[in-house]
Amino acid sequence: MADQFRDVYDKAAEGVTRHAAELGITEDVVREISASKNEPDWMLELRLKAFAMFKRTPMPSWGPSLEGLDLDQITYFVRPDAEESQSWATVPDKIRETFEKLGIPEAERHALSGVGAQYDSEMVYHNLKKEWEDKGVIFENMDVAVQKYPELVKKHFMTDCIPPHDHKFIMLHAAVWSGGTFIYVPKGVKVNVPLQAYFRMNAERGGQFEHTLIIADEGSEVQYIEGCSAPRWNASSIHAGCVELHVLKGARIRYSSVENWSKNTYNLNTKRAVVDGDGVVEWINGNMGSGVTMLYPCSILRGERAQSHSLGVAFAGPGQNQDTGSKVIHAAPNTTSTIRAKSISKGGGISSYRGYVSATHAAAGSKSSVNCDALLIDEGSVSNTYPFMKITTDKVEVAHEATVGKIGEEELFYLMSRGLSQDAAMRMIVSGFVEPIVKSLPLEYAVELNKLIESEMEGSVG
Amino acid sequence: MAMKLLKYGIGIFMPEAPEGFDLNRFASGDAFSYTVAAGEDAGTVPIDVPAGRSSVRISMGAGAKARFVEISEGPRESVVEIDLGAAAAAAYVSGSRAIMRDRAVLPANGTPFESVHRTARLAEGAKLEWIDETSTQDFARAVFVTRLEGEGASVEATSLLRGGGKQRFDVFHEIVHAAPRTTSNLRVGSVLAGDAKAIVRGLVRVEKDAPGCISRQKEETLLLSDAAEIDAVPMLEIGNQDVRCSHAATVGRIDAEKMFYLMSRGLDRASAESMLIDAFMEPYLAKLS
Repeated sequence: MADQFRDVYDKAAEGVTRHAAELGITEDVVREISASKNEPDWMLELRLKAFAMFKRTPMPSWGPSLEGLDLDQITYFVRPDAEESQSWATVPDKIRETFEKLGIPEAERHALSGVGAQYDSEMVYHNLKKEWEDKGVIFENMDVAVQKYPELVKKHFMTDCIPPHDHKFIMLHAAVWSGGTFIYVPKGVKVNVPLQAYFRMNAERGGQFEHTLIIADEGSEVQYIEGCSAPRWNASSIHAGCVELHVLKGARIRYSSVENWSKNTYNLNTKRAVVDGDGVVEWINGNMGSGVTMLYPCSILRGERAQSHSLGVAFAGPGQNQDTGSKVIHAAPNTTSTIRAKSISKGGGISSYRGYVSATHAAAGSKSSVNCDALLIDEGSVSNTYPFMKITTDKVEVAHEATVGKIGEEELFYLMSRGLSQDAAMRMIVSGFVEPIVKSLPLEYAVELNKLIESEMEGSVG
Repeated sequence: MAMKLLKYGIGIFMPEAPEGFDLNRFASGDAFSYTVAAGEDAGTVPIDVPAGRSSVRISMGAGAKARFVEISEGPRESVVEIDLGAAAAAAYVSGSRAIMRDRAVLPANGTPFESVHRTARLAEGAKLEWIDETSTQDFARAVFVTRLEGEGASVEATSLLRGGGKQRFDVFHEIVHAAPRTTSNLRVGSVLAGDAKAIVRGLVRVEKDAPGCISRQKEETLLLSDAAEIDAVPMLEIGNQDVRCSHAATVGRIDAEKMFYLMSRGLDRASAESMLIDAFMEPYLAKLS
């Protein structure tokens, strides 16, 4: 949503916070978060270890500037004034209203198997339809999962997928993470209706650090959709979430997300999948909001014939820097990856594709294809492409292609000669440009994404 | 050396480093300077760069034409600076003598170290061709920076890397479109066998005030052994909406179908392979000779 609309329609709710930690991050804050959740010792240890690493790790020296991000001016833990509920009726009115405006309960009734909703640092709603529960599917708040399924969580939580020492903001995440989703799909179970979570950051100077862990056991299938938003505040906020996908043998996960944080949010998110033999992971990412985004979903194809397919669209408007891309590591024979990335820059926005494809000796017979397209709408907008291909074996095929351009005069002329205004014609062309991505989203999200793009394109002529 | 250059009528041997040359930053040693007067066609100008440190400075007046051919006798640490006046046209060709003689050889071993740094500035309507072949070094670094500063200037750059031993190549091509309607075409081909490794970076930048630019970038790599390695990094930084820019990178081995075709016509594996490697290199080698 364009920020001028956000001021009108997306107001922060008031009086919904029960407890907020003090500004800034200290070991006390980390201990406080852990204690308030009654966590087992191993989790506290992980948090403290990560915090120690975070303190001595410098800020990244590459990519967009993070100068405006003052890590001492962030509240790392904001607990909403609500217990987690399985019924919208018992969610406090003000919080429910926010989610109703976002259309979450409505969508749940019609199109979803289960829904989770997080408000600031904690989940306020979680529900899974009974038929899936009966088949052994677990869909839980991550905090609850730590208590309820300690073995499963301990084995997969920041272990071989995203270790806590990966980079500075994952260290921060590991130290202060709160909320998020845990999904386990048992062997052979195919959840054919998507599960969804919605993350809402309400507090000023807030930080949201939700952790999503999805385990698709052998031969299972699951689709998961994530939506994110935050109202506009004057002070910067940070979102440093973490998504870990474990795709076991022959399993399939489709992960879709539309991130629409307000424009003073630093979205420094980490998403990664480890894929075993014959497993398939599909990433569908839409990045509209945020002032600065640094997000590079990664697939590690470690089992034979594993596949990764990723589709991404980024929209950079005035003052925005969308630094996104996909990474694939081919580490097993006959693995396949496709990456399709599209970006639109407008009003001085900067969008960058920063990708990485590697194929090691172990990846004989693997194939990778990367395709980036960038559209520059007006003067002063910027598009960058930084792909990196590291190929250490002769037994693979890798191809990368990118094009950058503006909206074609001829296409515009054609549509306008058919009676469309210039504005409408441009919007139609942009919609067509992002169509391959929109098409693969569930209906409500496709509608949301289209609306977002249309509202962002508003007034782009003249 | 001076005699040799004078014979071609266009070069002036200058023992001193040219003005504005930062001796601390770049290689010093023998310095060569070539000036081609406005409107003059100098034809082909051979440049015999000795082993060791050297610098070459080329300045061409409006409408001047020349083709410079640099042949190195040994490992170089050389700096080349080219200044092209309005509508001047130049080609700068460099390659090793051995390769020009014997096209099919994939060198297994080479000389120890080589580093070249080449920069060019182009005024309006000027045209430059970089043609480069690197193969005989164990460690070779080549940096090309081309600035298209005048409207309508264009650059075409082709680089061929070949290694069959333990070579390490590091090639960086930067092309800056600093003026309207400038065009660039960059093509880097790598044939890597044995334990050869290469990093190939290409960066095309279109500046904010440079509408109407067209740029193409292509990095193609043929890997012939499991130990060979390529890091391909074709980059774009586009600051003006009115552009047509594309880049492509491909990495692969010899096409199995083409091999089958040739072998079904009676060629043995080795000659079929060498024929296909030749075909891959042909567009590059054709420019060299």
